[in-house]
Amino acid sequence: MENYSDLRVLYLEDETLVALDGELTLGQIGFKDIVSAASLKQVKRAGDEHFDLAILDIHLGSNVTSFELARDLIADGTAVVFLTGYNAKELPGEFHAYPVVQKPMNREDLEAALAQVLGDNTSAPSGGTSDATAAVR
Amino acid sequence: MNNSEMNQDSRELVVGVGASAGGFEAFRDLFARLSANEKLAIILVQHLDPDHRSLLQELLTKRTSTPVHTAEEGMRVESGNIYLIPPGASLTIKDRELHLADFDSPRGQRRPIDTFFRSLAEDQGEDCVGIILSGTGSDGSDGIKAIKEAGGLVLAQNPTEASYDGMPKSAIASGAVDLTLTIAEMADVLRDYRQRRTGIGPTIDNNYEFVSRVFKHVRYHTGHDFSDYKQSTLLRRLAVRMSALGTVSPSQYLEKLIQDRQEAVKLQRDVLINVTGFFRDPDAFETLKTHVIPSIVRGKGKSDEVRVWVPGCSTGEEAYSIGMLIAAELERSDGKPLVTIFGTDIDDEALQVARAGQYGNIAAEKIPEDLLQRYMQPTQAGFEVGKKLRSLVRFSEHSLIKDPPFSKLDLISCRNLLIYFEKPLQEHAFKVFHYSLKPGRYLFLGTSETPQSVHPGFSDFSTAHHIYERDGRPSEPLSLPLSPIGLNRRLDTHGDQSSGYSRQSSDAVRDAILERHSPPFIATAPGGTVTRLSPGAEKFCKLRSGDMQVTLSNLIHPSLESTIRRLNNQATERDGEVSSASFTGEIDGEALDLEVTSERLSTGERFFVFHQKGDEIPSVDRTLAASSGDESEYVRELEQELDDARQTVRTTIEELETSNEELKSSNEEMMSMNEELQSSNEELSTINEELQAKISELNELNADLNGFVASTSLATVFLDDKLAVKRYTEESLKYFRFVEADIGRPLDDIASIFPVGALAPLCKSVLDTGEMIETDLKSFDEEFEFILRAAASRDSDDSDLGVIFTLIDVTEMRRNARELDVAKLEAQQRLAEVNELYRVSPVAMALFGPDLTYIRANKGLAEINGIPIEDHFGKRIDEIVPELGQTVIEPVRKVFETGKAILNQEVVGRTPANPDRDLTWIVDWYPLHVAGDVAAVGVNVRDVTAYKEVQEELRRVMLELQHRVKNMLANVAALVNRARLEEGDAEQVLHTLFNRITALGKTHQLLTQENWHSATFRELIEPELTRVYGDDIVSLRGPSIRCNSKATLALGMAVHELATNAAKYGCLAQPDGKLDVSWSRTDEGDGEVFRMNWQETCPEQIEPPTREGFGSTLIKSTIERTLDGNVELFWEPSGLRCVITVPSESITEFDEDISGKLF
Repeated sequence: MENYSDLRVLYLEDETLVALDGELTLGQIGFKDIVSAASLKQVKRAGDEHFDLAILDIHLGSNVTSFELARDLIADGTAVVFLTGYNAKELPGEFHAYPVVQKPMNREDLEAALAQVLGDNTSAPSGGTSDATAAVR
Repeated sequence: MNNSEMNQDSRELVVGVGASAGGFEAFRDLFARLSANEKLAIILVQHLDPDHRSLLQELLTKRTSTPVHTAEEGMRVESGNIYLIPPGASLTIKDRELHLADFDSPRGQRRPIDTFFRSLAEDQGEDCVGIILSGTGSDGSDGIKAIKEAGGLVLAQNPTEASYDGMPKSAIASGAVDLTLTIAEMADVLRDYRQRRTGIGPTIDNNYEFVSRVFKHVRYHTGHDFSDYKQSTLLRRLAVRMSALGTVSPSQYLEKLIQDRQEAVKLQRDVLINVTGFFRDPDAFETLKTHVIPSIVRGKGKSDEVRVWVPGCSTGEEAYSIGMLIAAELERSDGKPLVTIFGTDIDDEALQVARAGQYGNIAAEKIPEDLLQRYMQPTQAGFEVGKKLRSLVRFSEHSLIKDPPFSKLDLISCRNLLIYFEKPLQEHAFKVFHYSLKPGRYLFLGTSETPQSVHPGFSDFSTAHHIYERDGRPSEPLSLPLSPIGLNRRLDTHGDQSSGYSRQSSDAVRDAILERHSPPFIATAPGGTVTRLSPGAEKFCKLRSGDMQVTLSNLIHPSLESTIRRLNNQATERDGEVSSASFTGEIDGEALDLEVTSERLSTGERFFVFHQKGDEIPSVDRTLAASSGDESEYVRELEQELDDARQTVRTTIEELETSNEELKSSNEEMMSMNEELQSSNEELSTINEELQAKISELNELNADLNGFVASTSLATVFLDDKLAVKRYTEESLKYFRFVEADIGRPLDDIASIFPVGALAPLCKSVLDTGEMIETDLKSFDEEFEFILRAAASRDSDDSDLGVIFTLIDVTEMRRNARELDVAKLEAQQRLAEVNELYRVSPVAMALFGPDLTYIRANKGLAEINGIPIEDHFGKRIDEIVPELGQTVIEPVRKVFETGKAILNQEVVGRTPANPDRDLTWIVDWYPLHVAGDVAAVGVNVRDVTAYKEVQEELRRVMLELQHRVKNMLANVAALVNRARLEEGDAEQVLHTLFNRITALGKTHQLLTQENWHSATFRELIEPELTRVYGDDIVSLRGPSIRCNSKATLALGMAVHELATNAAKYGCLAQPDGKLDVSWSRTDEGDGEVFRMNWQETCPEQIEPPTREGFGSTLIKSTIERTLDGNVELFWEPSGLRCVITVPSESITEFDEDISGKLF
């Protein structure tokens, strides 16, 4: 649990009910420092502080996507996991290395994705905690 | 080369062809064998009836490729053409131009062939050919001599081949014909001759050795040496001979010459050119007659001699001509000198003709009438030399060059012989003449001969007529040329021993004794021929007129006749017996007393010796002489009787002669009539031949016509000028019930399927006007339709022969035409339909030709392409829509290739109509087959751009819907997931969950009703509040505010949670509880906000909740996260108050992407 508890995570989800459920799930996984946002405006409002991880819903209402934000975050060294309610085909080529989790998000999918993007990051602070433990969680 | 080199043109041959009766066939065949490129100019001369138009040109034109012309005045004669003499005119040629003239002689005596040939020879010299074909009479025989003499070639048709052999035979008899040929051979010989003149001539010219060898062989065979003859003449003759033999090379000819002696003879004869005639150059003869002959005859007594020599006399005409002049002169003069005319030639055959003295009718033209009468006897074929004339002229074979000449001559006539000699030979000839002539006597030469510059011994007597006089100087000794061999060889001659030149040399002593010391005697051979007269015996002889017989009874002087007869009668047959008879009387005025003795030798010869009385008579049997005393009286009586009888006979003879003269003259009249008849006969047969040819052509034409009538499938009827049926074709039996007997019946009488009554007037009017009529005609039953075409048939004189009408069955044609019209109309209709279809069809259509150009295009296509319809036609597809290019050309090409349609192809691209936007079309290409081939390709184009766009939109909407449904399910899942965490009664939790989901559903329903666009806030909250609790408990106040879908969902959820809470724990759970909901839009300086005020009024005090439940979390989350708003909850004892504040923009910012596009 403490593997994720130190991480500052940005959770961008425009559907409130889904976000409530997602926050719950993130909390269950072990995240403590969760910044939940329904729109890019709210992300901005959260300030310039570094996120270790960003879980981004791709489509944010009409014609708005989170790709721009993702680019900035990746540039900032943030690990990114995409969420989508659509079929997973629409991801631009530049993000092909990033995991996409289908909504509604279940815990197993999310943890697998996190293991993929946070493998290195989580092992370093855990100081010897094996990857396998994190992956099981 | 020598001077025989001339330009090609002048050496082209002009061929004169003479023909008469039976000639048509001959020259037709001849011309058919000669083509135009033979380079021959041919002039045909015939005997034509002056009153009859000649069909000859027409007939010949069909037979030969050579152009045929009827001669006209001044017409130039060109090679490769045939010219015909026109009827009724005499034709001559001068400077290669033809000239026509009226005949100057009456119809029976015209000789157009002679006339033309003479002018031809004069004009063309050696470059001419004369041909004599079939005909009667002798026209042409004189003309060919002129041609021959000029050096031309003379051909005659073989008399056995000719239909009438008169003309060819006469020509051959004249001696001037080079070759007698059949028509078949003639063309080849002509061709060969022409080539030889231009080709081989120069070759033998140059071949000196060849020529000298020819001379050698001729000299060997004939004894005549031509070495000094003019080479040009010889070569020409050699060329003719080689043509005649068909030999190509000189060596071949030499071979022939060596083997065949006859060839040498022929060549010799050709060289000698036996051309002569009676009274040639009449003017010269006139001078001869008036000046020369009298001077050589007059003043001569009967013991004198007049001696004339005609060397090169050929067939004797010249000699006889001079003979006639001299004979006539003799009759005028008193003295009767002995006249001897020697005609000599080296050509024995010519001499035979001369001796025979028979000449054709031509003699009559040349010999002056009076001389002809006196010295010529008419015969069947012409004339014969009379006895009187004959006795004057002697012919013998003799060479001017090599034989010793005659001497003491008064006149030498040597005409046209020296021209053939080279100068040395001429010099020799003049020497001979000088030697032979007595001083002051005359030499008569040909027109181009003169002794000047050759021999000085002659002076002019008549320059104009080439008569010269020998001067008085003594003649030079003659050196006769010696030939190495054959000097004495002669041509075979017949045994005419009358010439007295074969004198045997005998013992001079005996001759001297006999001459000077014995009495005159006459020796006779057995049979009575006189073999010898001793000197002095000639006075007992006398030549008499009539046939010459050298018998004693003919030669003895008439005064001695009875004496000799007595001796003959008394003579015994015993050898060595001498009988004698005496004679006393006068002989030629000299009184004589003679004793004539006769002795018969053992050889059968006898001699008669004339002793003057008083001479010694040796060993005479006197018995006869003695017995003469008694009988002399008796003999005298007998002689007296005989004299009386003779007198009677003489009278009778004179009477006979008179009647003979009469007969002769009537015979001549008959002859001339005969001539006339013959010539009209010839003209008639010429016409007849032409007509025959015409008739055979007509027969052919008629046969063709019959064949045509029999074979034609046209119904044609021939009517005569009375409109009676003349002829009809097989086909016309379909329409007329003709039977054979109908021919000659009027048309009206014939049964027909037509109204014949109408036909006759029609034909009549054709006959009258001569114009063709064409009209339609129907059969009685109207089943058949016809076109009737009637035309007048006319002959060449434009007089009517009748009417020909033809019926053409057009029933089928007309029907077809009508069907065609219907079909055409239908087709037009179809076309109109197609055009209309093209015009109105919403589908764009076009048609392409095999060259991929537009044949058709309709409005729809024009709009797609953005180019007017008309501008499409004739342009290629890629010219019209360049941007589509291959995309649309390829399928068209493919359809043309495969003939299979290509359907439903999608094409995307731009056209000039929309240059900035891609459009999408569905295109069909289909082939148009005409007779199995793809004639065109059609195209249908449908613009599906809009449909495509809608399709695309739908796809996006579907995706969106899917997204929303997923979203919704995610929401529901989140709610359910959350509910698991709720504490309390499961039933309660589920109920709450159910209500939440239901509320969510209602909100969605509302949005759906509003097109997922928006909803007013009142509509949003009414279902949860007033509809559930009524207006008495719940009051709603506020302006109508439209919320976007997001706000609708968020506010709906918040109101639901508030209402659920109120219904559970708040005012709505109490019986008299009240709820006020008010909302507004206000601006308090931080921008416009929407604010809702929820005020519960509870009669019973309520407890604030001990902890914040999920409901509160939901309310806060939705308003704060979703709408960036603010929620304030005030738990007051009188009831809950909740204030929700949301920026207006969060509510009213419409989600344009989805709104309005969902249905």
